Amino acid sequence: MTSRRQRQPLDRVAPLVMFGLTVVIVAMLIFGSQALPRVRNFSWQNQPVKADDVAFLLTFTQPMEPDSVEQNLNIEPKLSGKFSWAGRRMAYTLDAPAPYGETFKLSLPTAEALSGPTGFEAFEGTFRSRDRAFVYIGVGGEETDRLVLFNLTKKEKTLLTAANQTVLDFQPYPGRDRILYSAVDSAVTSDRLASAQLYTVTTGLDSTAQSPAWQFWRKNTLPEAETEAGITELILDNSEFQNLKFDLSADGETIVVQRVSQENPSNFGPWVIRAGEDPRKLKTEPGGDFKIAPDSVSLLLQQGRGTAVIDLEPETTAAESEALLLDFLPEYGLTLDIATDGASAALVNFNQDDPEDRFTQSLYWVSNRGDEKLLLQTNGAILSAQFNDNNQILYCLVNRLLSSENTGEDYDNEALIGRDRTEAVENFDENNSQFQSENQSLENDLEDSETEIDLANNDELAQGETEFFGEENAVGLLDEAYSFSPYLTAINIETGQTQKLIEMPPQPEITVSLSPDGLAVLFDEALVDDAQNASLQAEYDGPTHRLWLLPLFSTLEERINREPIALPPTELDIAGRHPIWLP
Amino acid sequence: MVHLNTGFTLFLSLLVEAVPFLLIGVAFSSLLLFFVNEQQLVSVLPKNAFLGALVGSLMGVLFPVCECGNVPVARRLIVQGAPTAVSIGFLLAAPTINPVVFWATWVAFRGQPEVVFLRVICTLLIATSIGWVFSYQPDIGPFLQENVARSRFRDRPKRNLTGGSSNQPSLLQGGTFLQVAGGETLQLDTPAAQRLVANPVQAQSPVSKLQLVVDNMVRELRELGAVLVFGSAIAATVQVAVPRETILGLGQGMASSILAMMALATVVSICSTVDSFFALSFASTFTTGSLLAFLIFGPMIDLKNIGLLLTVFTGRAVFYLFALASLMSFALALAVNLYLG
Repeated sequence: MTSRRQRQPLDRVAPLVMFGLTVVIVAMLIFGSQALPRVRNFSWQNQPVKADDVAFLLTFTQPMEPDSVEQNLNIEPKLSGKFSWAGRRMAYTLDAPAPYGETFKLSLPTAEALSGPTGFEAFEGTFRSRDRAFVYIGVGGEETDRLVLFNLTKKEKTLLTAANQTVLDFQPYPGRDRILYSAVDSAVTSDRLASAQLYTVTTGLDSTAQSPAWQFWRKNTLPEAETEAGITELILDNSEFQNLKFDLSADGETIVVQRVSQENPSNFGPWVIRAGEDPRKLKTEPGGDFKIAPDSVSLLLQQGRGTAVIDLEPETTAAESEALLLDFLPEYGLTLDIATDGASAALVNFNQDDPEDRFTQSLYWVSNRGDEKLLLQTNGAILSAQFNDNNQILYCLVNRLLSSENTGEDYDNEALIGRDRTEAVENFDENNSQFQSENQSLENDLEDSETEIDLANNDELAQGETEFFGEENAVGLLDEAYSFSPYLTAINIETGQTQKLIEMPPQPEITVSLSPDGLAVLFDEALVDDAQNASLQAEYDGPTHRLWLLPLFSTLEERINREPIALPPTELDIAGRHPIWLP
Repeated sequence: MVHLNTGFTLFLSLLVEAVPFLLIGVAFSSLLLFFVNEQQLVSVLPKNAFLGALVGSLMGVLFPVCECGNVPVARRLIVQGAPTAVSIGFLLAAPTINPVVFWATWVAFRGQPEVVFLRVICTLLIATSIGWVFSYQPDIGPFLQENVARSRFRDRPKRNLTGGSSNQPSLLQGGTFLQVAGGETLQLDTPAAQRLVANPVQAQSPVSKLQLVVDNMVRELRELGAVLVFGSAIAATVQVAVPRETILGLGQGMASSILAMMALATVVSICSTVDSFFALSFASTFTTGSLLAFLIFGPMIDLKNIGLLLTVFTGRAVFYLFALASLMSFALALAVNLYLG
């Protein structure tokens, strides 16, 4: 026990070590100079930036004086945005998506840390926005009926699909690496539309940025080998069913296809294809037009006179029960677009319950809280609508009713309007008829627009719902005295203000596509419709279809305030139709 | 009212993030505490002081316990004759160098991966160094509390005779024995303290072991859960109640931030499985070095731990541990602040 009181070896060593440590600490405090603050990480460094990327992060090694950074941070070309700070991290949220096809330089030559030494390690970073690119169906020459990718930034044209395929419709994947399309063999001459098959084709454009190798926890979704353009893959064949219309979900994982049995036309309805799963029929009442919601798990399906919201999740349909009906919107017969956040949608009411407005169409903005707002009412037809990047503006393509002698003046002859309206419905349904007679066509279209048909009879509906891919419109059905003049308008959803952007020449079919960065609209113009205007075609030797680019803003201010103005469109030297921007 | 709301949100978010790791930590520590036989472990430990300290520091991988569970384990190691360097290394490093804590730190500091690795490296460095320093004391006895030392002293002479092997037949040992089933013997005159501090569970049947595991889990969860709730409340209060400028001013000083975080670590006594989430809430306002100091020093020494340590070591030894650990943590954190930024 005496040893407990004696000095032990530890009593000598420990104070010695403590003394040594103290000396080291004091030396560091006196002689050490704190490292200069610097940027540790810039989240967009060398990244391809897309429209969904709304903000970048700058992480500093030390908390910074916000003002000193905000004043010295420079992005060339200018990108307006807002700063926000959380300790040593700064987020810069863009007011509007970065314009595509540009290389940006970010520089921070000097800044001040909150405390510690003055000075800063200057930082420079670069990032690129994605190339502007769109895909269209070629017209004329070797491009005819093939998918063509046009990189507007590099002015490069790539033929994607094979010459022996006639492309009917297509939709790009969200990663812009692939395109889903339906096509028939060009050799097939009879009943072509019944033989459409679904394919994907690679675009050769990078979809994802590769993470550095040491960041093993981040998965790289796209293997290098797949980036070659023009590799096609069959998604859905036509052996038992005709593949009619399709839609691709926002996450690119789900495809919904309207299919009808080759043998039994009453076996008709939407099918769901998920990556890695067999196609399955959605157990629901057959319906008309449909759209997958941005959440990728629900489907807006035109059923009866309204729109049903149906759950696409397999769990609910695994049991032999009906697909779960999430909601039903009885007044709205058509969904034109759904806001990217899923909180609201642009829907069309055909005003069937109101005898006064029976032959008009109303465009409504409907939120998921049940708020409704009438945006537009027309006795023509609302062809399409697209929300802009922040869901504040709806770009809307409307067919205005004209008479050939008295253009610009709307007719109010109900019967005529009603009849022409069905034609318009046919147009926007892209419901391209191959019908034998005008009467039959109209009847069928009436069924499509769910106007006068007893919907309890599903078989009849199924037969009536013979929608096809393809863009050949039954123009000849138009009554000669009356025609439509399409125009594009921008509607501010909050204020309801409309701004007419462009009036287009009367034509059977128009595709309008808003660029992902919201700066321009791409549309096609059919100069000559081959079947009906043979005489005109003979006189005109240019391309029958051409593409136009319509800028929406002239100044940065207009863009930030989201106030598009009418500007003259630019003709692209491209013969094609159905142009769609890649995301 | 706004402050109260913010504070409550902070408190809950800390709690929600941390509770799963606490559960895992408790489950692991209870299971392994009962199924790893320390006696066998002690017999294979290296005798070299430096290697012993290093191995002791790395033993946490086998005993994923936070600082609340490691003192009893270290005590058992000492009583069973493990070298001083091993015991001290284990005592200091085990709460940090173990899979659960590494994972939790990773989850919390994914944005600053260097913190995760620096935490492990610095802890290893400090624990091994202090273990090494303590190994200069050939007989740790004078620095142990009397009951621990006594239970150990009784063991020592025979250890010296047999070269450290504890497999000597009990017939060759002096004392009073009971013959029990299977040829085992139970020494009746073993000091009570030794029987108390030795892991009492090793001899139990599997069913009762399981029962004890569950009991231990519930007990640890109750004790540590309370500490976690308390710690989260402090963290939330500090951030809401103390003016932001004060915190920022304190948190940005090269040395003051380290001192503040070390003091906080000592007072809060938060469990090492969840302390990274606690530190994360300061990540935006405090220097990297100070966060590191919190993460290194907290699991080694804190108020709750000092209480436990004093049941094993004398005040002098605890002071050495405390002083060495704090000086080294401070020096390393300062170096990080100065040279890594």
